[in-house]
Amino acid sequence: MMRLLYFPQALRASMLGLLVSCVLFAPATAATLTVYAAMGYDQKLAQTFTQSTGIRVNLVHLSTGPLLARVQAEGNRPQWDVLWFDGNLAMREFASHRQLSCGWLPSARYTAQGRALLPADHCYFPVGVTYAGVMLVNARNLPKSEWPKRWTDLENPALRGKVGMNNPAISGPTYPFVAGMMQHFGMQGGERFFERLKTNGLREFPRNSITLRALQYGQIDVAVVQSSAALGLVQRQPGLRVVAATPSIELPSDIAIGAQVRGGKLQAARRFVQFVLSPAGQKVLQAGDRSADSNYQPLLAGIEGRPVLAKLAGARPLVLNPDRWGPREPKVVSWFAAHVTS
Amino acid sequence: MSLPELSTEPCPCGLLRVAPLPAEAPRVAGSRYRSALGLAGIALLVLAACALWGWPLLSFLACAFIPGLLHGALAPSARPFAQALQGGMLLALRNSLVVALAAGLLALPLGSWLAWLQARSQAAWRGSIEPGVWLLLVTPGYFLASGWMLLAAPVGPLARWPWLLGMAQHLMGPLGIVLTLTLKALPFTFLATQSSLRSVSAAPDEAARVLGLRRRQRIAIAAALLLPGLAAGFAAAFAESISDFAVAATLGAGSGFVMATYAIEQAVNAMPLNFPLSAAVSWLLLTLIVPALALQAWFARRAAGQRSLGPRFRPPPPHRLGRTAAMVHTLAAGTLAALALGVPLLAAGSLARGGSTSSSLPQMLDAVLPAFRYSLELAILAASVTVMLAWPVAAAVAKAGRAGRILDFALLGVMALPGIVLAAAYVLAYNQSYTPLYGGSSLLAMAYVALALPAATKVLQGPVAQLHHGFSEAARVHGLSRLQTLRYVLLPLLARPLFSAWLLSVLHVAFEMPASELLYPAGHPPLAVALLDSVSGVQLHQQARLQLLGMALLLAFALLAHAVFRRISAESGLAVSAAVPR
Repeated sequence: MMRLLYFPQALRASMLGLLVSCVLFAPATAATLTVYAAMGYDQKLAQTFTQSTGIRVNLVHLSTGPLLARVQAEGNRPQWDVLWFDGNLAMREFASHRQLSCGWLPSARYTAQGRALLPADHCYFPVGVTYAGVMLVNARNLPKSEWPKRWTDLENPALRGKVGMNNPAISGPTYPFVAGMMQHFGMQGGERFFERLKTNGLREFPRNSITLRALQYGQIDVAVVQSSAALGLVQRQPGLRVVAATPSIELPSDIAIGAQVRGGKLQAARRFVQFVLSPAGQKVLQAGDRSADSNYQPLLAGIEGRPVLAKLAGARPLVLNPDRWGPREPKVVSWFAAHVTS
Repeated sequence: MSLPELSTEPCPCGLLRVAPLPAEAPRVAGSRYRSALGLAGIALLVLAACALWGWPLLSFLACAFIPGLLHGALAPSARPFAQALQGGMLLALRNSLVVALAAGLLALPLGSWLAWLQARSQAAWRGSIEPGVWLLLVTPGYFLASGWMLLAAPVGPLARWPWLLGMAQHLMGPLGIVLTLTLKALPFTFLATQSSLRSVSAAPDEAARVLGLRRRQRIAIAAALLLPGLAAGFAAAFAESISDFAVAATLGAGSGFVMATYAIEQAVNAMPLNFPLSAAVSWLLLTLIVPALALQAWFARRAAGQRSLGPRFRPPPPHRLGRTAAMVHTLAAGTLAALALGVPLLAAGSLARGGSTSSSLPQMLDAVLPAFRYSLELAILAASVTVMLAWPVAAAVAKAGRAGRILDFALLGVMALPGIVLAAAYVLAYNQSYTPLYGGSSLLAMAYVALALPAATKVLQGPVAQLHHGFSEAARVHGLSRLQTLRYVLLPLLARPLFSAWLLSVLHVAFEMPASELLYPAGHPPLAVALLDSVSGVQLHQQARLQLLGMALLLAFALLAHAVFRRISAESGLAVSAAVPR
């Protein structure tokens, strides 16, 4: 022990350092808005919002899975004021756990499609729509006769080991795709569909970007990914074809305000939501991330989507009921992990 | 940057030649005051250990046995372990074990060979080995793995040669993972073996020669003397490889070769969250390193009492290489250097030039510089605290006895702990009404200290252990107080390793990814998160440009810090300038 007596100064200094760091880097408590978002254009939107309103925004940008994990991990002590990501099923779950502020409605001119996606309790607000899963085919590597047109074509032995998709436990937009298949084929039919895909060598990757990279590198020839990401890559890489098979599961991006937000911060949060749903906000959204999230179908009257959306013409959408499929997420994801991932 | 260099040149007072002492050495307060101060220091150290690891990790890891702990349900269950030992999780654990074993076993001979060349040979270029190894040590694993991925890209530098591209694409899997982890683990085996080589005196070999032992017997004696260092190097390399996240999340995830750390991250990032499963996998992962730790501990016990660096130390004579041998060594070392740093950098450089030029350098700097500044501030703070804690910890580990061994064992255990596990544990422990640290930079800084401390301690362990206790005793005999001994004897001797540990910690922390992702405060993305955000996985040219920019920033900071350190040490006479015995 005596030997350690040489180091009291170092210890005192280190403790002082920790103390100073606690003071200098204490959690931000100023009246700035904390936004948790998983959208590619969120940084630009936040900057534009601050320029327009003078309200400062602290942004946490993560991909959907890690973002949802962070929100869950924070539990009853949420650090966020506004939450924004793709997928109304997870939003419904947060609403059912009374984590969202409900009842207020922004003054947005929704289209009929938008009104259909607006929940009756007004706990969250749809911003735009993509499809949870489309097939992106590497037309250079795959003969035209083998291009899949229906979902069941992915079971074709000619595509053995050449099909990849995201892990629904990690990729936020992928659970709605799995749920949509289960609604379309029936619960047992959907499970058998994915089991057959696994038997046919389905390859699983964590999220859109990594699945698309596998397609780029030639590790797979068909990638089942979110439509916005698929359209982004199609514009940059020739030789790819997008196939929106029936049904195409609608995936709304939703924005919500935390139940714990009060007073001036609540007003600021509402202004943020209002800005996102304004023509000025939509303009930023459509220009902010053309390689992925900007390729969405707007839900506001008078706002047109980007021209690249024409590649999805003919898709027959399927709308999932969040009240039905939101609570089933743990069970379906666990089944998928046990029977398809492993 | 150079490794610790200790002078053994005796000075008239019998001590090593160190910084000049003050003309008159004032005495400090009495022994009672010093004892109280020492006890307070130990108490603070224990408190820091509890705050950094003990409390968050125990509460997190307990979830594996009591899955409902977070919700107040105290019923124990073995279900998380049952889940962890089936299907994909079991496969991930097996993958991690195999890959870490392979990386450790490959890194051991490579690191030892380089250490021998550096410490015992007369190769003309041996002076460049140590900076090269340090460069490899501070290069984030993410950059190496990313470099290999860019090499294998269809639009990469090998696109014109399909057969070469086909070969390179084999790196997108276990082969590339083992290669990258071997290169990342090599510095640990190098440093451990180098430390052993430097502390082995010429006396045993001379005695063996006097006694007429054969060459094979002399080699066996030398190997036996080096075994503790080799075992320590292997254990560190194995622990580093099995706890790696960057390679698992890039080459591993991209190729579908799931490793345990990535599986833990998936469980922690899943919807719904599965803390019990990630805790169970963390237990199993930690269990996997126990044999390596036990091996190291066994050799360390055998080596107790071999501390020989002191006034009577005599280094063995350098080995003269023949012409052919020198050529073979040069060629092999050149190939290794090209593999380790050259090829990934060239691949990134080649891709950085191509593609669209939508993002110019100023735009990229705009995106990355604020994050770099924030990360650097946190990294400097965290590294400074880390070094201040690592020194006494290294001294405690260096002490013979059970406490030192247990501490050493615990440090390697923490070293094998994935950053994502620590971050998840921090969210749970520090997002309570009585510990409201979550959401602020202080918690992120704490996580950085907790993650950097084991490696910093390992860097300091050798130099601190080599300090002969005679230095302190002689200083006291000559009337120096403990504080003066610290300032005028120990600090000059350890200034360089302390700086090395500090710089290593800064660079390690500045590019830390998994804990940063989970703990970063709103509005302040650290560098790794900003780099990840700036590119999607398919924007290869942009990825390459950002990778090179990150490397350039890193290198510039390292060079600047080194220059500042040299200047300060030269002006203040802080660091010992004499060369190490060779």
